[in-house]
Amino acid sequence: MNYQFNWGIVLEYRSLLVDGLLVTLQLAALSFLASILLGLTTAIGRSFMPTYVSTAFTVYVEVFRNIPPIVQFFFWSFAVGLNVFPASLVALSVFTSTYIGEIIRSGIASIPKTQAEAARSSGMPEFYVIFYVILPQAVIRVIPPLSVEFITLIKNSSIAMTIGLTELTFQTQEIEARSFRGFEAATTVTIMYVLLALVVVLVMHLFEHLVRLDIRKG
Amino acid sequence: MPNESPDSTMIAIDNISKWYGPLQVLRDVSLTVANGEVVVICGPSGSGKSTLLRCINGLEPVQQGQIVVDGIDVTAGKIDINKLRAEIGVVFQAFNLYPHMTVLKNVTIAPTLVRKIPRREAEDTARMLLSKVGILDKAASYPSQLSGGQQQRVAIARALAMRPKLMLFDEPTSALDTEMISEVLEVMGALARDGMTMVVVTHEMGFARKVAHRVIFMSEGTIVEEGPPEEFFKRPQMPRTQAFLSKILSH
Repeated sequence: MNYQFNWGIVLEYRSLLVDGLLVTLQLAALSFLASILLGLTTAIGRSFMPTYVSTAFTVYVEVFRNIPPIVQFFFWSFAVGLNVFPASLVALSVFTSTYIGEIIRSGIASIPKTQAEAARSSGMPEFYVIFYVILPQAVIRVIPPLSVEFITLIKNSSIAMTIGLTELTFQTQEIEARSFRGFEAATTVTIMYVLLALVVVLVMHLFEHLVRLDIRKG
Repeated sequence: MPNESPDSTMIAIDNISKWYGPLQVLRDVSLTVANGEVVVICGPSGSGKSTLLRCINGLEPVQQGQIVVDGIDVTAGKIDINKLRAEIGVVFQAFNLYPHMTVLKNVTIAPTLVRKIPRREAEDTARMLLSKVGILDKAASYPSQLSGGQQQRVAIARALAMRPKLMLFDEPTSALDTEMISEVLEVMGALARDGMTMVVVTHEMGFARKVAHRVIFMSEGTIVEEGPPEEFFKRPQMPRTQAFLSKILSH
C-alpha cells in the first residue's frame, strides 16, 4: 500500500475531535438517562399493569424496536421536524428504551412469584411490592445485559451524523474533507469509541460489585 | 396483638368453591375458626388445603361462597385487601425472605412501609421478635447465609412484626431438614400458647396432637372430617381419614 501516514493530522484537528467527543458524550449521557426511565416504565407497565395498559406498552416496544434506528433518526428529524440534537436524543432514547425495557422485564419475570406473594401478604401496596421488593432484585440480575445495551447506545449515537449532528463520527468526515486524511481520523475515532465502551464496562462492573455485595454474601 | 372476647369468630368460610379452569379444587368448603384457636389442616397432596389457606387472605380468589375474616368479607368486590392483609401474618413453605435485605430489614420493612412505624421503633420490635425466635445474633446477616430452620424463624418474626390478629402457616416445615423442624415447631407452639389464632397446614402430626385445638382432614377439595386432636387421632370416623392416618402415622 502506497499510503503515507500522517498522524500529525490528528493533532492538528484535535479540537474537532474534542468537540465531537463532547457532543457524543452529551447525547449518550442524556439518552442513557432517558432510555432507563422509559425502559423502566415499559417494563413495569408490561409486568404489573392491567391488560389495556400493558398492551399499549407492548405496541410501543414492538414499533420502536423493529424499525431500523437510522430510520427512526430520520423520522424525528424530517417527519416530526425536530432540531438535530433533540431529534437525535429522542430517537436514540426511544430506540434504546425498548431493549432496556425488555431486559428489565425479563429480570422481573425471573423473580419467583412467591416474592411478590410474600410482600402482598404483609399488606404492602403494589407500589412498594414493585419498587422495594421486585425491582431491586430484578435490576441487579440484569446488570450484564444492561451493560451491553449501554455500549450499543454509544455506538448507535454515531447514527446521529446522518441527520447532521456534529458528533464524533461526523468529525471524521470533517477531517477527511479538510485534509484527505480519513484513514488516520477514522482510526483515532475508532480507538476513542473503544475507550468509551471500556469506561462503560468498568463503571458497570464496579456498580455490579457494589450492589451484589448484598446478595452474594454466603 | 389485641384479642377480642374468647368466643368471637376470626374466620368464617361459608360454602366456598373454587376452580382452576375446568378443575374444581375446592368443593363447598365451610369452616369457622374462633379467636385464639389453633386449627391444623392435613390431607394428601392436591386436597386443596394450601389453596384454602391462600383464599383466606385473598391470594387466591374464590368463584362461589363467602369468606369473612375479622369481620371483613374477603370475597366482596371492592375491599381494601391490604388493610386486611396487614392483620394476617403468613408463613410460607419456601420461607420467601427477601434475599436483597438483611434479616433485620426483612422484619422491619413491612411495619415501616405499611404501618408507617418509625425505623427506630420498628427495629426495636424486630430485635425483640428475633430474640424471641432465637435468632437475634443473625440480625445483620443475609438470608442466603442462614440455614432453612433459621430462615423460617426469621419468616415467623417477619410475620409477627406486623402484629397480626391471625397467622397462616402453609406447610412451614415441609422444606426443612428433620433436625430443623423441631426448632420451628417450638416457636409455633410458643405462639399458640400466647393465644395467637393460627391456621396451620402441615404434615407434622405430633404438633397437631400437642398444640392444635382442632384437626381438619381434607381430601379432594372437601373437608372430610374434623375434631379435637384426641378424638381425631384415636377415633377417626371416616374411612378416608383412617386410610390417611394409617399411612402417615406408620413412620
